[in-house]
Amino acid sequence: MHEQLRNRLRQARVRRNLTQAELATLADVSRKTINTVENGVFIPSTVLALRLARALGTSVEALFQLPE
Amino acid sequence: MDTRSPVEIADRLSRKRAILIAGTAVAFVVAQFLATLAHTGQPALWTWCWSMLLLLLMATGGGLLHQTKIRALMNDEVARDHHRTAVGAGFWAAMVAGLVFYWVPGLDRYSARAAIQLIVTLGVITALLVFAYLELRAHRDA
Repeated sequence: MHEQLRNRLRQARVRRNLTQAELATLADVSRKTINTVENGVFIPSTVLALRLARALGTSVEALFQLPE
Repeated sequence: MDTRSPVEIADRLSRKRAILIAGTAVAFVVAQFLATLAHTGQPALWTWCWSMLLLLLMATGGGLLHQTKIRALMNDEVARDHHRTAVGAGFWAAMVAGLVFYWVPGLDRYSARAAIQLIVTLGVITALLVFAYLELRAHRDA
């Protein structure tokens, strides 16, 4: 997990009963992208973060936070 | 008719692409090593052609025959980030190879063409292997 970014993407996806592939289809990205963001391997761009938030019906801040 | 979604198709193709890239790069290194052992003097034309083919693969990301939608998914933000990292690694590998050729005594017996070919090869192979590694790692557990 990246130290400078906390993300709740996996929790938000699971809460909506979506698989990685289903979220990938909704956000128009690859499943690999969902996987790497969830695992904290990849820090998404602003555009990708907004797309993920829109696909999950939430805000970017609810998905990604800086540590206090 | 293929009933899979574009995401599933792109996922499968990008995994296959990573394996193909790694396999082709390793096969190229082995073939070139065997050719060097045979020592034919100047680098053979086929090694140049293979190098250029690999360079083209690295530049385009492959998948040119697939639909725009599938290609866009294969070359999305993560793949482009991996590509940038891989090209950077290839650049540094080529720089190091160039410096080694310039400074290490005894290597001046190689012709300029042979040295350039080795430097290009090292750069391309490093970039391809780094790209393949990053892609396969990203696919893990996906």
